[in-house]
Amino acid sequence: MTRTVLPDPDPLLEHLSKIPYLAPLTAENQAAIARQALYYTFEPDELIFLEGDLSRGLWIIESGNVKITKSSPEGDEFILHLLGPGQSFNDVAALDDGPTPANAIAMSLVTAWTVPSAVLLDALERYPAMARAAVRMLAGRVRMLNQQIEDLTLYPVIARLARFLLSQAEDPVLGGPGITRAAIAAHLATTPETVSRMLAKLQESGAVRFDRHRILIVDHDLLRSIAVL
Amino acid sequence: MGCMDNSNWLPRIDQIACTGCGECVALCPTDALEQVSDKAQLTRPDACTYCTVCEDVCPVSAIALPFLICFADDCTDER
Repeated sequence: MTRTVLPDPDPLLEHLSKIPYLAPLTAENQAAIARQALYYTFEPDELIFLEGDLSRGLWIIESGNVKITKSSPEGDEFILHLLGPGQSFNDVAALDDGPTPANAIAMSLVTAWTVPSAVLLDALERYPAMARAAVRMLAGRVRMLNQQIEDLTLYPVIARLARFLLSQAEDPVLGGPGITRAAIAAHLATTPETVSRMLAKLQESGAVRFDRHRILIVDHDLLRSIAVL
Repeated sequence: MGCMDNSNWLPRIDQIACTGCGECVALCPTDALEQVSDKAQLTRPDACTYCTVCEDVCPVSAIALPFLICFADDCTDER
């Protein structure tokens, strides 16, 4: 991890205005937050933080991709989220000032800012619109976690894989360095071998097609039906 | 994200994790891999067809092939 002086606050301002609970702030107030942000770079596979670490605050990705993971006692990895440029993470710890709830690892060369919790919490006290937006954001996270539990407990691997492919294709910030079958498996709580078998099944069905390093969704409706959507 | 150069879409071999067992080199159907200083290396990237055999046989998961997931009618390596 390398910490450097902010190269230019403008890129951070652009990202801050897109983060749902910071968007209600005026440009001037966003600039005040940006001035207190710290800027870091990470090498591919470098640990950004471990679950239980002291939180540095809200992280905002400028470039590169980050995975948020949980680890089993045996060292198996479960990927909770895959994130790309402009997206934030560690929101919950930044807001409750508690320890980091999961691990964050750079999947490529990553540049990112941190906005200290004290800065965020101060802004929440001052601006009710931001507080309301933060509540909505947290409600959204609860919905998303509910969805993940539903996926893991109620749907077979092939449906989970179909949902994952659709979500990846629909979110262009996640293209980045690409995703390995091992990482897909770690997100779907299965094995890379099963992911390979299910991808082959999806190809046989005509929903997707491999084109060297590309997994192309060729029949959107069919893939949605396999995803039970 | 900026434009990804083609080197992103090749097998990534973790030179620290690689034990040099040679299984991937032996099974690569296009001889894209070679044993160099007791480690597997992609010495002929142009020959790689992305068949994933190397990743599948590696006993220590030292080889990873990244995939780009996209809609067929709107797919570019620039994301």
